[in-house]
Amino acid sequence: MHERADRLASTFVTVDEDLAREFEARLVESSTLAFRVAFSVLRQREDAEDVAQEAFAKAYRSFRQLRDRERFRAWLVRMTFRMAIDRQRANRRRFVREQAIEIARETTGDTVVEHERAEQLWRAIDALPERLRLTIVLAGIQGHDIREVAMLLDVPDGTVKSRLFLARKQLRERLSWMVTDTSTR
Amino acid sequence: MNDPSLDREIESLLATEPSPEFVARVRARVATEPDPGRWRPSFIFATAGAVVVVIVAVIAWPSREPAPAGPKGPALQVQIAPAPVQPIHRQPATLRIVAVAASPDRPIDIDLPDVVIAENEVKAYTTLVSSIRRSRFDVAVPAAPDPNTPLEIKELPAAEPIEIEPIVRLAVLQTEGERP
Repeated sequence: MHERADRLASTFVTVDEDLAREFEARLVESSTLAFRVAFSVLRQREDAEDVAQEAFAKAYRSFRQLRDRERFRAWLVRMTFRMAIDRQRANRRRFVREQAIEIARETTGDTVVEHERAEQLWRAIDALPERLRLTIVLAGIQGHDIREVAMLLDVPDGTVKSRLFLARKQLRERLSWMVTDTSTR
Repeated sequence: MNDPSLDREIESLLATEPSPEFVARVRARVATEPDPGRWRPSFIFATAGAVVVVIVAVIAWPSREPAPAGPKGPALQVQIAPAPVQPIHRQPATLRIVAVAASPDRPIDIDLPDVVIAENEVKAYTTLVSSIRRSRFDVAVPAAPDPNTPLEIKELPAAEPIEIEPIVRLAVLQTEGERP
């Protein structure tokens, strides 16, 4: 009787250990991805790390349903993006002025022109619809190809291609308008 | 601006690394979470509550099973016994039915379903049967009229004429202060 109980307990311990080990592996391989998704929205290191950290905590709570690697990464990307958007809205309401200062500080370009250019690009990305925005950001992170982006977004490859096409088109239009607007000032 | 240069710019914007202690912070944060495999207290309470509600509902729900037969106290029992029935004598004017019970004190036992007949109706019926057995009244049914017999219409008595005073006389009485 006691032996059976011991065996049962050890089975649970093994399952828990397996879960912890798998989660650690996911954390190591996906931490940069989650951080960069959050950073693409917030553009502030501390905020981005906070949001990514909370997303990992949520993922841990539901890790039994997210043990599959691709499913975990797709869920993590969507959750992080959504949480970052929420944080950004809250930040905008509270710290509009402070955020602008932080953006300028975070952008580590060498010259004022580079700063200006980076800021224009960020603004153009911000102005994209959310689905185009997340698609172009994921394609720009760690050199993801179309297949990887499609898996992360859980959409067909063709959808990713059309979204990237639309996103690039809109970015080019906005950037050319911004350049013209800046040069005529 | 072409696509590759745009993509390169976006990549360079996003090429920001998290701080070195980021992963350690996430580990510490996750360590404060309950094990994903373990049930949280809120789940335990919610599940226990749901189980209690189901059990109470099952117990409180009225059973459709018939109640087990057993001693129920002074149940009303009506027995339909093969009593000797008197022949019915048809007469031209009325039809008389006389039912005579073998013994007026014998318990009445009618096995009736509970749902179909209400208790007061059963009581009324048994009272009627016992009254008939005790011959307290005759159940006489008037015979149906013969369709061949011509319908007889009696003449109505003559009504006396009603005298009504003229309206002018009433008006004169009212102006003089008298009530009619």
